[in-house]
Amino acid sequence: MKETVKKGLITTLTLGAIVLGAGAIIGVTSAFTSPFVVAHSEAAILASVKEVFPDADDLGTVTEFESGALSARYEARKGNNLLGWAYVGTQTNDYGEITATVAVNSDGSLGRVAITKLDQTKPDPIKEYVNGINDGSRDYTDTTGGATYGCNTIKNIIQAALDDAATLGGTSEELVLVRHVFPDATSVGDMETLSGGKLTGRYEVKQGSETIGYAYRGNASGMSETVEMLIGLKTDGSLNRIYMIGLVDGGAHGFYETANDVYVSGVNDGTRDPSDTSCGATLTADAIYALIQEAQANLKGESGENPEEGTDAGLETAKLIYSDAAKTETDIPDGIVGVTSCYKVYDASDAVIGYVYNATYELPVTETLAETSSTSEPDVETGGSDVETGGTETVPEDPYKLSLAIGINPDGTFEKAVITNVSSLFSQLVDELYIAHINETKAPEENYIPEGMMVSEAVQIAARNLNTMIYDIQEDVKPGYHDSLTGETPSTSEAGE
Amino acid sequence: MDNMEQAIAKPSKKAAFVTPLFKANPLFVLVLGTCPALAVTTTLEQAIGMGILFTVVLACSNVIISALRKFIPEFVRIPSYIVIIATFVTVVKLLTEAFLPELYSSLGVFLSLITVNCIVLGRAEAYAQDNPVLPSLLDGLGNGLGYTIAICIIALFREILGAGTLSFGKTFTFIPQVTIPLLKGDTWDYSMPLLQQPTGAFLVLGIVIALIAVIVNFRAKQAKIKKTEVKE
Repeated sequence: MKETVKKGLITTLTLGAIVLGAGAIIGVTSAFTSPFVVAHSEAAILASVKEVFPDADDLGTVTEFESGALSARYEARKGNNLLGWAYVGTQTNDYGEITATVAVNSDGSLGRVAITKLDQTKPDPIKEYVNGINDGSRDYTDTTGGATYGCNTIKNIIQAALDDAATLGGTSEELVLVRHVFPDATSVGDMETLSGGKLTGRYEVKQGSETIGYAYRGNASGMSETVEMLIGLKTDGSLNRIYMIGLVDGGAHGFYETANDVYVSGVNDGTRDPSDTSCGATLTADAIYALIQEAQANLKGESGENPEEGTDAGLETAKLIYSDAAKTETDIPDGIVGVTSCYKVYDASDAVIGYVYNATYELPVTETLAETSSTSEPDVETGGSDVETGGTETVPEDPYKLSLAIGINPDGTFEKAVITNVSSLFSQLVDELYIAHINETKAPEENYIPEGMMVSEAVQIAARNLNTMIYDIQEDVKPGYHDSLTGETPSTSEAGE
Repeated sequence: MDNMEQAIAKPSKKAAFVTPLFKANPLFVLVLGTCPALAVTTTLEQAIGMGILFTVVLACSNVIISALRKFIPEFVRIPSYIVIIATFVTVVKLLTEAFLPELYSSLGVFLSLITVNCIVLGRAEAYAQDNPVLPSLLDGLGNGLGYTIAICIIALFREILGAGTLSFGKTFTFIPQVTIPLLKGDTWDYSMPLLQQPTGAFLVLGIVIALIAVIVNFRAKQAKIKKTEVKE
């Protein structure tokens, strides 16, 4: 027994002594090498910070993080200009440690990424991932590759850097967003919520202490999608820039992309007047233009002009239908195809006398039609409710497009329709052969389709589609209106043929 | 006596150093330590670095294990060896990180993995625990150098044939950077990138082992013929 205890004691002491000796050796070595390692590590980090911000001449202000994926943040400046922030982050995965330096530009966007330490068994795919981010060929969220774990580790560092940059004073998410329409903005106020129209909110935009404009958020509904927009207006109400924040709903046909690429870009680079909405995604562009107008109207109201004195955008049109209109109020149309805006109309005693819907109608035509229809009278072979086109279809701009205002009474009955651009032969024919008739009978429920020698198929298609539009508007004003009638009512699918 | 038996037997001091270099080469003959031999042999410089660090760890751990062999109880033999080896690996790792950071980065996790390299533990078990300090040191140096030579041969093939160039100064930054274009130039490229991949490392290792087997067998046959002639 004694012998066993003695043996065990010796064994324990020997192993303990070996471990202590090992610890002492490692401790001494670590103490000796750590200054060199730290110096080298700092030099490597500084080099990586320089690598991600090559133009920076000052990396002075350093913020250290106690926990999380990030260890330090460097403020990169060139002279007095803030270029952005370089974040140094270290993360460990199953294969080892990765240290990366991530540049976030002052507008909150991701800059370059540099790897400082890469203890991984498969370093090459990770380097390819970082190279892809740096040359712009790869999104940082696309981590699939030969070393997905490693790429995800770097993605986490990038995400942490972007998240932190978004919380910094001066680069709040709102400011990052607003800089799309006011690139020189230095601060934005809290969003002021707007209601009663398509605008949802407004930011006051400042450069230093001076207010340079307002950024309006709102939703624009095209034919098959609703997009969220940011409208930048200068303090005098003129348009600065517009920005498509993203898709809110729909989008299967991709018209919003066409609207963004053609209309929004054109407006921003000054090659397109905002009122010129023919772009291959005309209804979406129309909706965006209506949003711009609504923002401008809102700003005018703010600047002291009294909308009740006839300066609001809808009153002029409303008076074409309701002569005793005294005031209008923006209303929200329920996603009706072609409708760009809607106003509730009041008389002098502040009673609602009706609703005016502004709409744009564009005859659906194919390329073949466009080639064969250069004659004075439109001759249409095709029809359908797909009034918005993009991609392969070519739509003649003005000849087959018309704008109209439709007045519906609060009880759902039709009051009047007015074509606001009767410049083209097509719009004149629709006005004379269709609009004039329904204004006279006050009964679009009859689904009147013009007939006769002078009537082209184009006018008949337009009449069919406008019947549907009016039907939908009536239902929007008074749901169930048509059910209460005994006459035939068109269905959307019928009219869309 | 074949090579394996020679390696396991206890040779003289000279043999302890010389035998592992070629006759009982740990990689080519005993086929030990293949993992780092495949992973860190894409460039010659990397292989030289790995070989040197490996030799240092092997020699030092052999010396300490040999010196402590009479004090280490049989019962805790293996744990003690592991602690000693891990200590040297850590020391080497810290020194490399401080003074050769590029080598440290390029070897990555394989530097730490020397701790569990079967050659190191194998020599401690097979030689150092039964022999005095000096022969153990020579055995460690011999095996380390033998391993270094082996991985350098693989790296030489892989770098020249796989990358098409031979580069110096990228890992050992204290020497000037030189890149010798051998199979790859600005407008021409006859390199075989496959050899830079792990698959290529297996291929090269297999081919070299086969070549060595052919030479050894040829020499054995020649020796046998000579022996027969002498007898006659």
